[in-house]
Amino acid sequence: MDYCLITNDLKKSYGHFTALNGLTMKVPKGSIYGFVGKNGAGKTTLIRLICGLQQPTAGDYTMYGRKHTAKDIVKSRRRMGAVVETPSIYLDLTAEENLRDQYRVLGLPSFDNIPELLQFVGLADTGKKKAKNFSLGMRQRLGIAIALAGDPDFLVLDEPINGLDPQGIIEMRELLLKLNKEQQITILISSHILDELSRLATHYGFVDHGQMVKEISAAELEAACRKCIRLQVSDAGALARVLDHRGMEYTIRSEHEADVFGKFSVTDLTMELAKNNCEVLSMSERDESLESYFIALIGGGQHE
Amino acid sequence: MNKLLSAHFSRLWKSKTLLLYVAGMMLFAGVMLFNIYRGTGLYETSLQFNDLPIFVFNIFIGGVLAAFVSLFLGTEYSDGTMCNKLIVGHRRSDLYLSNLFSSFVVGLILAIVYVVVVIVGGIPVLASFEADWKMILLLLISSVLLILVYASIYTMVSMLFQNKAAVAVTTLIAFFVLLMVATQLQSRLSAEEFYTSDTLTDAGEYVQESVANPNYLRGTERAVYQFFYDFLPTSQANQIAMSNMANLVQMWIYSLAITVMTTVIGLLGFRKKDIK
Repeated sequence: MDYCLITNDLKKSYGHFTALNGLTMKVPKGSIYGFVGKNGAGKTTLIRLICGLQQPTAGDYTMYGRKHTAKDIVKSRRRMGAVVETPSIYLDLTAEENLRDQYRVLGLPSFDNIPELLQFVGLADTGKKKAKNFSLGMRQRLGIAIALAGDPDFLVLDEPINGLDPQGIIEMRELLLKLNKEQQITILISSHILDELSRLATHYGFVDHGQMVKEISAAELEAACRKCIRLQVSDAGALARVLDHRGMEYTIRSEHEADVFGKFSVTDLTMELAKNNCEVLSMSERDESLESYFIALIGGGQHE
Repeated sequence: MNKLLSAHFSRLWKSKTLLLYVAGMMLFAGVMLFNIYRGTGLYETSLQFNDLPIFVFNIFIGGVLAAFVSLFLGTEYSDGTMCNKLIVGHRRSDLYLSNLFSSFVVGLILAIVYVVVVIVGGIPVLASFEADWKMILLLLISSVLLILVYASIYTMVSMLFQNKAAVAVTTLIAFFVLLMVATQLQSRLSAEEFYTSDTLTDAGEYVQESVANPNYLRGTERAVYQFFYDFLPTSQANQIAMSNMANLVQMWIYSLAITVMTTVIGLLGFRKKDIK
């Protein structure tokens, strides 16, 4: 798999406070990478580092094949756009003037596609309205338009849906999906709003105390979070034999516990287990969400 | 760096703040002219070109630039737009130097506005255009160097500290304190070595005698005062405004030294700075 960003044992300290403590992650090209963690877990710090706003205390990262210490890292940076925390826009300028400024910063020869870009982010009709009079959602969209000005391959967004109203959240989601699907832009997005993130992300990175707890693809997460019946039995071996015989999918969790996937008749299964001298001690339906997965992972104490 | 300069200047030309500062400099020049008119009578063409207050702006340009640079560059931090430039791969040194250059150009623009208004407005009271052009050239060079010094100091402070308001207040206070220090230095250095005192004799007559001034600076103390008088930008400004520069070469060397020193410190500090 190709990766646009690989961090290796990345550390960042501010005085005695360690914000990143050996974070290792891999962002696959073309993915929407959901970066999940509690407040103070190190999400924004990582984003600041990869955006070149701060230098790591130790460790390194590679962006599009170039190490961050390489002299030509600027070539990789030119392939990225980012909105870090609040959108970086001149409040006393209009949306178009802000974009013109960024075009100049990028050295783009023409302003011709600014109306198209404004249209793309839904700010086409803002006219001479100054950015200071924009709503939070409009500012976020303008921030993303500025990040998109250089036609980036990699877009980094730090909490882009924070403070947005429900309509704004839906629009933001559609915008990001459009960018990923139509323009194949890799998106790294940090967010607290896990339900929203679960509608977008193709990959997840769970971070806690400045360390990567787990990286998982959306497909793997879906499998892990799939609906199942958790059975506690007296003999998991007997259960496995019965389930194999019935051609059912299952995961043995311990000597006495297993998750069984798919629909089945509880009565039939219980009777068949009884014939095999296996007693059913308890049975519960499990439907894990990203949120409960996160809680189990971060709150669980034992990390993989 | 050209891309950054293009963005800076485009923002500058559109800046209402710059227009406001230009208007302020024109007003200041107008006040200076008004004093000239009042002193000479509007149609009395008695002044030489050198008598026009062309270089008086040097006294205040430091304060004006302190306010402008801290707010203009501070906006890059407060609006977060500095991040946009770094994220897309501009080098920190390029960003720093482009900001320094922009600040310097703003200083030049404000100075030119003042000088042009004073010269054009002063024409009615000029006896002739004859002037000590060599002196004027030296004063011009000194003024440009002084603006460069101020621009480099304020750029350094603005780039190293993110709090726009704090930087504006600090640089302005520092400027006015240094302005007072400059006045004090000038006062001490210009004190007479002796003064005359009337003494009443036993015969009941007053006799004038020369008495050594205890406030007159001598030896090392005078050298130290003179060094600071030539070194500090505010006291350099006083000397340029009064067209009275005793140690011109030293002043230029000090100006260049301050510019290089502050720029090197600023560049090194900004290169390692964690930007939030």
